[in-house]
Amino acid sequence: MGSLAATRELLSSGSLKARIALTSIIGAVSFAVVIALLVMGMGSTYWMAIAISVTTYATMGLGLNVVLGYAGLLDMGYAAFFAIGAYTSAILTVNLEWNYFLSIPIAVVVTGLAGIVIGYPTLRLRPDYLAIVTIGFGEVVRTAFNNWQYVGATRGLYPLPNPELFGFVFDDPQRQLILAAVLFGIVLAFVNRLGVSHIGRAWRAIRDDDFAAEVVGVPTLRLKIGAYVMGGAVGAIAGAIFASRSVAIDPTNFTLFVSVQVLMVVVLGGLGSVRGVLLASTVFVVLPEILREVQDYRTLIFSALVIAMVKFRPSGLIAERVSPDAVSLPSLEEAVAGRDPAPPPAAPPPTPGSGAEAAPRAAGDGALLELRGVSQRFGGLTALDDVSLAIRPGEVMGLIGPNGAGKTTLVNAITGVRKPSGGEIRLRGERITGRRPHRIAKAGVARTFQAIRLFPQLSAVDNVITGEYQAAHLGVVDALLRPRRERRHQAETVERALALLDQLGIADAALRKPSELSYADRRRIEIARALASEPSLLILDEPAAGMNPSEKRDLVATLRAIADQGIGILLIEHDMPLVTRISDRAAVLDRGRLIAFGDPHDVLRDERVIDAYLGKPHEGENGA
Amino acid sequence: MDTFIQVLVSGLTVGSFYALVALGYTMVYGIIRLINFAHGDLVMVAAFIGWFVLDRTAVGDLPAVPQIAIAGTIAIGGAVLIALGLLRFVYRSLIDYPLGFMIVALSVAFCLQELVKLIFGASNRAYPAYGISTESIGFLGVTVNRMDLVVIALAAVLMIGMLWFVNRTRTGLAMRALAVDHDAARLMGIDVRALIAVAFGVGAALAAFTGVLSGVYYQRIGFEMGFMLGMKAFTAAVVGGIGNVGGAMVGGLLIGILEAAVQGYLSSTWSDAFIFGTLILVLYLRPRGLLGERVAEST
Repeated sequence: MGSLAATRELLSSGSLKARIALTSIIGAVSFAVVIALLVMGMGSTYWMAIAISVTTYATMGLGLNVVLGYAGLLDMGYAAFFAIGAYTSAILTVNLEWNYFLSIPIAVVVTGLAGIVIGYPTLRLRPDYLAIVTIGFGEVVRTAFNNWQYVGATRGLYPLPNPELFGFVFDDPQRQLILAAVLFGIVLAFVNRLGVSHIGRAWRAIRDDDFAAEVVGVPTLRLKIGAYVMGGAVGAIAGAIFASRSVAIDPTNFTLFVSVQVLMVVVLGGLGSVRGVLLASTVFVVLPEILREVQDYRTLIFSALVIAMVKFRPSGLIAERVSPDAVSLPSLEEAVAGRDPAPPPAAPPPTPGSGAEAAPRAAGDGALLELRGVSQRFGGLTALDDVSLAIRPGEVMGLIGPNGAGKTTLVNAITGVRKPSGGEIRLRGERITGRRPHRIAKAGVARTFQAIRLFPQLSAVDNVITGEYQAAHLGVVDALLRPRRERRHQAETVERALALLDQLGIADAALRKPSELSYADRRRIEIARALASEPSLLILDEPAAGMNPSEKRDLVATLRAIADQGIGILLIEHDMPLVTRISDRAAVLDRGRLIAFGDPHDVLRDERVIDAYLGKPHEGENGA
Repeated sequence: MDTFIQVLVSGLTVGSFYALVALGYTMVYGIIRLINFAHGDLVMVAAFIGWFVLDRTAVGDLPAVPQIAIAGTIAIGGAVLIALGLLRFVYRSLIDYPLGFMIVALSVAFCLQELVKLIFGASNRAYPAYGISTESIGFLGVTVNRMDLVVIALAAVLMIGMLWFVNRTRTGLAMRALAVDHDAARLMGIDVRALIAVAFGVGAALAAFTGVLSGVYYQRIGFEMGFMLGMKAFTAAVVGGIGNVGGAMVGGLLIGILEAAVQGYLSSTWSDAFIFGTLILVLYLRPRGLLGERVAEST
């Protein structure tokens, strides 16, 4: 536990706090600029109009930041949301004579629905398609408003009434600025809370590696749609701000160029950085006002700045405070504060597989995982041929075979990465064949990857926490409205993740990013992440690769301890001494067929197995 | 029937432009799985280079065809240089950072537009009027613009050349191999860096050809002409099956005909909405496109 204590030590040490303080100072300065603008605005109508403009851009920027910054989805038609929001509000107030304030929630809902209609079909495709589809979406929406007589077609809608609340009319720039600032404040709180919540962490995991996120149990499609829709809803509020201070709206307010400008604001500010967006939108609007000469070159200058920024400082003006600062640190400190100096009165942090959670899982009718006649064909190639196999709870099953034998293909079939062409897979009697990876993860299957796939932007502890997303039982409502419950949950999960890292002997690496760690430590983090989902079956794809003998000894001890908790382990490994030392049974695959099965020592003496390894070499397949 | 033939002919003309631009997208995409959003604006830059040559220099004494050929050659050279320069100094280091690459490519597109606006001004420029662009001839019983037939014929020659290139040359074979299985092709020793340069260069040449040809065809060019053309061409590449050279051609012609049909029978203002609507529909129903063999995405 010494290293765990060291981690806690680190949390209270100066350097981290200093870093946070520094970014906070930059953030505070940008806030101050905005506020100074607001104050100046009180004096002059001109500056008030500019301040409202800053607020509108900043609101759009915060919305796109959810989509692009948090979740990494390149939305190039964000103006569509802005347009739908503004038009919905305008239709309700002009054509139907509703009160402006009642129009805002409707605008948000309508925009959200549009987001679902576009997001649902496209977000399951390759991410780069989203860019084109969203450009198209923006154009379709603008064209629709341009041709729709009910909203005045090219002339647009006018006159927009001044917003009115209980007789108080927002009819001058000062009042409109206050209204804009209030709406902006709501949005700011909304996106901030989302960003530091468990959802924000899962979004960042998706941004880093959406395939790995799905496999460790994050429902990626649902979360991507969530980011797209919630970001869109924020755009609707920006649209409502725009409508509140305008006399008229028409389709020229919502061109592709608007989408590009918002995109620039988010990239310049820093992807995922709320304060960056605030600073960048202020600069973006105010700079051309102060320097009249640059006005004509605004697009050129900002485009060039974006290129330079992405190339030389991809984190933007104010780098996103990812973990450990933003996501984990507050809760980590809480966890530490809650635990130290006295040990907790309650039971020690639950380790996976122990306690009430895992007990019923382990107590099945014998087999934990059962494969019946599983086959996988790629065109003419049979990668898996009628594989049947059963793993018991608490058993370590070695899976060996020459390169290209189909081991990883089998793992991919079990974990839902690729649906098998035939056969059946059952986990504790429950059929899981062909389910989506995150559902299978939820059912209790966790895995590591042959080529390590950690989330590079997340710290070790956040990587581990991502693994327990499914166990969180928290929703958007918790993220937004129940800060205490969410915080308590975060504190618990951080504590649990730290315990897992400690179990694997790397608690001192908790706050480091994967790139700062050794190969063996990265493997350990991956195992910890897999364990975080409290699996009943753990699949390890060559966990000892790249480890030295003493690290391998530690690994054996760790895996034994895991199996002793009742977790079944399927271990792919090329290190035969390691396999025989740790496995209860071993299965041998060759060219997609199970050729031997049983006691590891017997299996390795089996003639067919020796032939498979030493016999004439055959072609490799896509076992990677 | 007359309208139908005219819609078909003008659809094939516009479709030829889309197809030639789509080839550039699809080649680059096939190799690095990234969208070069600035590709459409190369069309625009080349159109301006061509215009500059035709408008300001001594080639004015020559007959129309050599004049255009000289202007076209210079424009192609310029566009290829710009594309390779961008690849070398801007794009190359971002190939492993897809989000950054696409954001930068988008910014490059706007930089090119703004630079052209700065140099040549924001108003449209007119290509010299050649008799050939407006002459009508009888064709299948209807009168069509002769220039339409010239564009379609030239594009057909280039497309046949491209099919030969990807199917019959070693470089083309390597490109197709990369599009089908990136990792395996790399392991076979294919020089990916060189191929990317070839794809950028050939794509830029086709884009420049399109730029000058469309300048002669429409006789009017502007700094905004490239981006939407590029987006529609990309749509064409996706509809045909991204990464597939034949698909880009089929997709381009289909999108062109769709656009002409919507403009001819419905309303010109709705055509973009129809094109992007088609894109969304194709992605929903058949994400690999018409000729695409697979969605290149598993692990």
